[in-house]
Amino acid sequence: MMAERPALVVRNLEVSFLTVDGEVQAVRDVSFEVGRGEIVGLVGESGSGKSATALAIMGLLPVVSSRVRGSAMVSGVDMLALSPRQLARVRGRDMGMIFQEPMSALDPLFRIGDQIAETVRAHQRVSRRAAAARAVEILGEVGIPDAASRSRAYPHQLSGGMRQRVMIAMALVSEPAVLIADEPTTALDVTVQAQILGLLRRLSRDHGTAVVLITHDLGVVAETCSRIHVMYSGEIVEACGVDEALLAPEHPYTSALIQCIPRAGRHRQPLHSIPRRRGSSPDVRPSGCRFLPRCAHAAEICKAPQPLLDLGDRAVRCVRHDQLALPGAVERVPQ
Amino acid sequence: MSGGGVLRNWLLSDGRSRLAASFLLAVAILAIAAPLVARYSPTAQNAMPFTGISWDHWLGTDDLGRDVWARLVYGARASLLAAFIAVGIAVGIGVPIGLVAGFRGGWVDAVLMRIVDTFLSFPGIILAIAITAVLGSGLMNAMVAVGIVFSPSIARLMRGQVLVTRERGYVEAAVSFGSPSWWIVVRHIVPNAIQPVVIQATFMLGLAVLAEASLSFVGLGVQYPNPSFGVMLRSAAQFTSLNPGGVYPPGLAIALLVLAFNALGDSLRDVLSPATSTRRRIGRRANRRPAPNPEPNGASPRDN
Repeated sequence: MMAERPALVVRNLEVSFLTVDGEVQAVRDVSFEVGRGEIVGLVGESGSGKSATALAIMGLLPVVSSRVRGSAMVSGVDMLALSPRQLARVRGRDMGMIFQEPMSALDPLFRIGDQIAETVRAHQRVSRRAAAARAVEILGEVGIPDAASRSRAYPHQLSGGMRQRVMIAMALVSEPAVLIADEPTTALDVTVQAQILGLLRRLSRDHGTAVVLITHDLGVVAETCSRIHVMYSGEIVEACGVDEALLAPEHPYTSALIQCIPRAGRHRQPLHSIPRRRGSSPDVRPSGCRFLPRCAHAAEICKAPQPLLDLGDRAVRCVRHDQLALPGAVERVPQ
Repeated sequence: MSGGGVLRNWLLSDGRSRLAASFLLAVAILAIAAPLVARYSPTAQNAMPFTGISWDHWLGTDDLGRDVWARLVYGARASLLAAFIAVGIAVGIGVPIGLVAGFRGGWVDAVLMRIVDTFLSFPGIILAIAITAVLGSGLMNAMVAVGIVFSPSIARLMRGQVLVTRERGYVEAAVSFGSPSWWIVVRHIVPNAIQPVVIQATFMLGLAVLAEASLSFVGLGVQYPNPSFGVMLRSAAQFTSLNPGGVYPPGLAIALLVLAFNALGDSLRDVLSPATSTRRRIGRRANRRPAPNPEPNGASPRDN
């Protein structure tokens, strides 16, 4: 394993929201770590708790209507124990975040160079001129051609891909140790998506930034990440290397997700989908395995609470994992 | 910022706003240069009453033999000043209240908005009369009253805009980059929330002209012997049987001023709101040259 201390260590993260019907748990027992220069994927369908996890680590959940427990250590400091004032100081400096919508995450009224400079000046005592120069520098680094003149552009003058590059530049300008990318490519078309992922990989490698990549796209994960955490209904159900997950998933949900990817060469076959509605709505969760109502391999034993089983280099939340031979991304050839 | 350039482009881009802006500019110049263009003192009795239109008295004289043109020009001064003071007060009170209520939320929001609701539940002019009764009459007090009456709707508008803007991605992003919250309010929320308030304030200038005229008409605004459109209208209205044309100068002045402010507000709204401005731009282009007909069978593209 890693010799040095991981850049981000999340332990027993729990997030719940206060609603009129009482406290509703959105994330439970989430633990993971990300090393320097590593990209780790957080995968799951809508409502599985991916974004809640990210926002909790960033301290961006509304204080009045949510409860966060556990710890999230960034360079040895527990983000979840900080006061709002301390949090504002480390946000952007020690950890940055890229949002899903590059269209809405840039203020339409200000030039992009000024917005990046604003982030610089929030953390460093530098002159306006130096901040502006730094903005141009980072814009060049994220692959924006002619950065000096583009830094004077307004957001609406840029394409979606350019805007996401600007967002990445803003998030990375203070060289944070941890970068959380919440579906950074969902709003982009496929070719731009590949460019942005390549950019994230390069920046992560060059600056040693630990990246948490949140996505529902396994293709993105396969292309970018070294390890993957699959979330279902607020829990991590499988954690392992990307290749292991794709080739030999241990959890039925991971396997089902992989089967849902449409692929070429299957003529006139219906697209696969996971049966029944998502049983993960926090108020109607089964007491045992949360995937039970939709699982093709459910058995009596699954009705007992499921711990995350440590299998050495991977972990899975399924008691039947060693009895199942689940299909992965590569078809098993019958022998 | 190229704010001046944007402003000029807007004013010149649209015939309606160009007309309204030039009219308002002309009125403003006349009002400022009143001592030079009036030819008479607005309060001096220097002729017989109701002389009618003549070279000596362009718009005739009123019931006390005062020159109507002079009173109109000085009255424009009072009316414009009154409008700007009232709207300035309304914005000065309403924007901070709406900002605090929208940004802080919770009980602060609830308390402020209930106060605002209370103000909104009175008919505006009645409330203004009540406030003037407390403050005493006079132009300044009347305008403070009108400003207070107008401020709740500005506060409402601003609060709604802040609520929307607060949830915008760039605000969340700014938080995630560690910008302090006062900075986020000043830099991101206010500039993005203020646009509709600017538009509303432009409309309000017209309403304030009306309000000033109304209050002066009932004797609570500009005081004897000073002129304003409302004062002039009242004295002219008393003598309609002797001088039926007397109501036209102040009446038309009020109507045109309100119309000009409304046209300006309308055009400002079209320019600032993306949906309508696109439609207008397309409409204008279509007017300039007929669009090539894409339908080979001759189906008309003229569906609005």
